[in-house]
Amino acid sequence: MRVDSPNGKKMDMKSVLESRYLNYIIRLIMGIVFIYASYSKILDPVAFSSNIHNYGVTPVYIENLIAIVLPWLELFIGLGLITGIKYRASIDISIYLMWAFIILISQAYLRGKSIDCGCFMNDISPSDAAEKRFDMLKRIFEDIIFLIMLYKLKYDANNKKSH
Amino acid sequence: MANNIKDIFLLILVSLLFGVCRVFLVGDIPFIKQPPKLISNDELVNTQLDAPKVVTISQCKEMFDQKSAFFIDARDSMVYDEGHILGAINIHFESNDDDQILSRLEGVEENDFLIIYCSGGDCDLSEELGNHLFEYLGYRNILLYEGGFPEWKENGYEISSRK
Repeated sequence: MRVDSPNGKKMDMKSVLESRYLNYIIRLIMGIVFIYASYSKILDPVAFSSNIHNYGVTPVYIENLIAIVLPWLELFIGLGLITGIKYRASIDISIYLMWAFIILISQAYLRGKSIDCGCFMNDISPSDAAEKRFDMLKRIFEDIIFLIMLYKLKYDANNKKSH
Repeated sequence: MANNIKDIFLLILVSLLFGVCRVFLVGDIPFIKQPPKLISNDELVNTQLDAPKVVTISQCKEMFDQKSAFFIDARDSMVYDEGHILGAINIHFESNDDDQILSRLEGVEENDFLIIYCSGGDCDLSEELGNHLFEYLGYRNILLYEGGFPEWKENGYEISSRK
């Protein structure tokens, strides 16, 4: 497959994947994703603590602590990905977080629990349940895409191509 | 790699510091979340509780027989229709706004005992509704029945269904 490069030259797919521009775009996208995700959580940690509770895996006692610290971590790794400050650490933390999100949503999905309301699917109407199941699958899919993008950044950072 | 771990800890530490500072400045969330405590029989008088509390099935049954509490079913209306504690009011938190909740609680005083239940086990609907009623709508005597409808039904207590 061939595409136009920013300077008008033809590039093949391998060149596109190895291009610095692609990494800058991924960094920008992932940075915005993390900063955007942190914004409402920093403003309302009580609601975020309740969301954490909905996953049904953490001890109640530490839910507020996670809700207080995690949004700031998301903000700083988002900024780190965009600016390049503490870049490798930001990529590593992003990857750990993304794995955690995928595992947490998947376990809730398999247990038939909605992370949206914290309720079990058999406590809500079938149409609501179908909608919530679809949303969870969509989020798992999104997070897998993000994870692939982050692993690309990590691979290139290890080979000193992007940073 | 060692530097990377140092940076990861640094980012977590900075996030912790920002989170802690935010809590001290805004003061909207405690560091440690406490799960609702079991209510003692002495507290089951017409008073104002300091937080939503948990009731046992025997306390529930006693209050049901004495008609000294309102029962609230926090599950979806379709599930409620299939069977609920006799006389329970159905309030599914997700599908009702504050005005609708208040209209369903017409005739209920702020100091009345409200026993909220859902499906037992990990079901969070009753706790979410209870916290909302306590913190935002001014109901002072919120009781959470964690055994929920399955336990009540298993014990052969009074139920009703619309089907």
